[in-house]
Amino acid sequence: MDTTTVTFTLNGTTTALAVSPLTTLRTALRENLHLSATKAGCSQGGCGSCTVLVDGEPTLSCLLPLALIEGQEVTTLEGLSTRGGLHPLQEAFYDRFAAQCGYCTPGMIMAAKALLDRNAQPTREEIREALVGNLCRCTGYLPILEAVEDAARRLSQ
Amino acid sequence: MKQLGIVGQSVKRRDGLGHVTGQTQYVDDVFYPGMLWLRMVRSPVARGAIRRIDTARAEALPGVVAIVSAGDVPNNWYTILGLIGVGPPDEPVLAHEEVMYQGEPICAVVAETEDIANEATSLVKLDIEELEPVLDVEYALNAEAPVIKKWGSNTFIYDGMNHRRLRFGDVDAALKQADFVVDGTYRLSPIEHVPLETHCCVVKPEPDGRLTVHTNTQALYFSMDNTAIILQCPSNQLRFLGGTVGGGFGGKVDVITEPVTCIAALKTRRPVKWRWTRREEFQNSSTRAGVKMEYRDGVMRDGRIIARKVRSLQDAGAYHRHSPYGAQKHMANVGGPYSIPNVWADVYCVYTNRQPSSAMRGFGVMEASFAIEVQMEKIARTIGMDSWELRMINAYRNGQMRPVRKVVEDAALVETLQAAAELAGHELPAHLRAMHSNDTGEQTGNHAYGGGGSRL
Amino acid sequence: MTVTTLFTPRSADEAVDLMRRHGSDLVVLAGGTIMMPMINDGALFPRQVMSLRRAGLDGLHTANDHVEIGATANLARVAEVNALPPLAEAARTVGGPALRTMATIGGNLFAHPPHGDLGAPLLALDAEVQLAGGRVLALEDFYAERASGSRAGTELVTALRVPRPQGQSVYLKCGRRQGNTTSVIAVAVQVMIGSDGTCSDARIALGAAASHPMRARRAEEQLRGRLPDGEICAAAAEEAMAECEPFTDAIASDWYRRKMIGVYVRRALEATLSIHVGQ
Repeated sequence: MDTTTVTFTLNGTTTALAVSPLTTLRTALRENLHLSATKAGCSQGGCGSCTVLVDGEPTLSCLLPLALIEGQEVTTLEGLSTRGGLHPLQEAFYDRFAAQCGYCTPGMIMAAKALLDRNAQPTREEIREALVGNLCRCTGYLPILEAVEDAARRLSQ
Repeated sequence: MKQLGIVGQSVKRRDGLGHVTGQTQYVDDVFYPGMLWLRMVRSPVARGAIRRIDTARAEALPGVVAIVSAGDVPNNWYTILGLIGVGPPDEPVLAHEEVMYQGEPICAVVAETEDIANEATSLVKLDIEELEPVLDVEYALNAEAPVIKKWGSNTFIYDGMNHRRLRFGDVDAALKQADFVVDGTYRLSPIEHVPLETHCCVVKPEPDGRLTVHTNTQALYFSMDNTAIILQCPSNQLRFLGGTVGGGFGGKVDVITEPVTCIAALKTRRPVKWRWTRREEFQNSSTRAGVKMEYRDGVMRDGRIIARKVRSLQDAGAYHRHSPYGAQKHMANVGGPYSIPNVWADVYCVYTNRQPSSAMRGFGVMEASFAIEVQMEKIARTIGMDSWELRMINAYRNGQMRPVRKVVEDAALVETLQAAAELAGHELPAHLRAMHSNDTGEQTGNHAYGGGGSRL
Repeated sequence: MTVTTLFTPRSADEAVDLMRRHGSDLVVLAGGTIMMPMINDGALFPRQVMSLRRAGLDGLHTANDHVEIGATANLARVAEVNALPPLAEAARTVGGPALRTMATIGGNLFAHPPHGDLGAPLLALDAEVQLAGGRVLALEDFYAERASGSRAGTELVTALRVPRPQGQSVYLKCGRRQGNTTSVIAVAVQVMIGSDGTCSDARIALGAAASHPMRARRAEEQLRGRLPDGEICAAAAEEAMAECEPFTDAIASDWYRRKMIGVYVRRALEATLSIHVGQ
């Protein structure tokens, strides 16, 4: 089988993977690297559960062939906590019951991180717009919006 | 009042930390060395007779390891409610003679990679003679419609009848006495649960002959027992592992992945994973039943609903699944939380060549509630009464006999409405604020006690 | 997808060469937001795939009277082109941030209705499509050529040349949700008002109301040379309803799409007029 070797930075570490040509970033994360935080809700780009950051930009990993991010930086939920501690977004989601089944949670947190990295004091409306590409079937969204507001407050302290 | 340790406290979710760190395990996170992938070949038509299934080209694709078809299934019937006596068995695990809905599973391809399995499914040639499908519940009851179920009817048979009946009091007499007759027809389309996580199952054959089954079913024991019945093996041969379900809502209560994945694992002697696509989740997984409900209520000038006549057609789709039970629940709830002394309901569990419906969030009951509450608004506007008043006059009270022949205990609708009004900032007039669930018929001008009498 | 090769050409010339060599067997990815879902879904099983991500087609150049946007410029950047308000608005309302990171303006031209939201504002702005090899054609002609199955389907789109609007321009989208929603319909208008207060020219473009984005030319005729008021806007909306060719799908029925064209064309025209009046 044809393989291609792709070298990229993953959560701060240089990583090289040999994959078949069109293997997506999501498949590489979940199946080659066994980093299962990034989810596989639809493979259509419609649900946002596969959201990761590529060079800091929110990206749908289910639609992105790994080979196309040679040399770029990928951040997943696994890369968010530092030295075993939780990122304020993770703390806020936990404290505010912003997760029920948990399936949308990684994508939501990564989309929220992309927002807070650019806009440290987002309004409710800006949070809503930043998360509009992430679907949740359990919470009704309100606890998630509140968690992101909470995280923004924590980060500013 | 006793000091309670947990009740009344805010308690963090046990799985919360797992969720926010991405460590919570879902079935799709399970991988075994040498694991194979399964993809399903499904019927392209709503109804047809299977003439031939040609898997030669699929089998020839490099990387395809096995095909699983009807002949590989020891007991090729899935009847989840068979465990509580619902029958006859009507749903094959894998279709063999006929297909009854678009998307019905016909045979499975098992291959080294998911991509190969996927491509192989497109290489299976299906020779299906298309037959006229029944796609509407009214048409299904029409004498001219094709009969699609093998017992000679397009309905489930309840105790020898083609519908479930509720008879309480004398509804025709009450309708004649009523000051107003209010009709309403209500339709609900099927609703898909759309869990973020699709159906997924991983089966690993163990050296001792048992099967380890990872599944995101909501109903672990139902799934294990039904799988054992289908595999014709003792249930101690199966080790079912459940865990976190990425959204169920009733959509993961059917035993829809485990049996075939088990057979694939037994056939290949290797671990097998079957994960559904979002398309399969939308178009092939079970839904809430579509339903057509016809309500005729007899109402007195003073707001009492004295008669209710209901005809309701539940669309079970192609197979039983949970629908005979859902239709029965529906029937039991057509009165709603109101005291109506004369009730007649005919509820049909109708089969059509559509995606089978099954459980979803209070199935059977929610549909009735929708119709009932809109009907209440219609009544209020017809007789010129305030909506709150209409509901509180008719709300059931303790000690009253319900149409299903059960005496009301622990009624709280009146108090709930009063609390709701206060929260909504809506001031109720004094006579409504004075009502309570223990007030007698004389005070409210309401309702029957004891047997199903008709109080006019 | 049992894909054997993923090409990543470094220039338009390299891309064109690959397209010539592999013909219709080659699946072209811009942002991947149209083709990858199909591949993931098993709707096609390509062997050769070409990505334009590194072909240097993502430039964005603002000039005095127009903006040149490279075909692979992503919607996130197009959403910030303030010189082209209806286009930026349309880009802002496609999907969510992650989708906009990946989807491209060029790829959007190939989206199947009701997708392809950028088509209507591009038509309303008289956009031109630049193809590799030098051919330039009006976007309207590009859609027509694709529909007829002739040349433009096989040539590489390298850029869009979009004139800055001379009149007031508005984009409105009707969707079933407030965000991340496929269009029921979309409307983009540009209305030029002369010094005498009459409409000197108008563009009314409809999205998701036909087999590809279209200009509602009979509706535009209702405005030209007249003093636009509520009645004229309503008349134009009626014409637009009549000349569109809506379809039924899971999002909306043809009947509803036609009705919404009427509502949204009127609203869009009234909005342009109130912008004009407000100035």
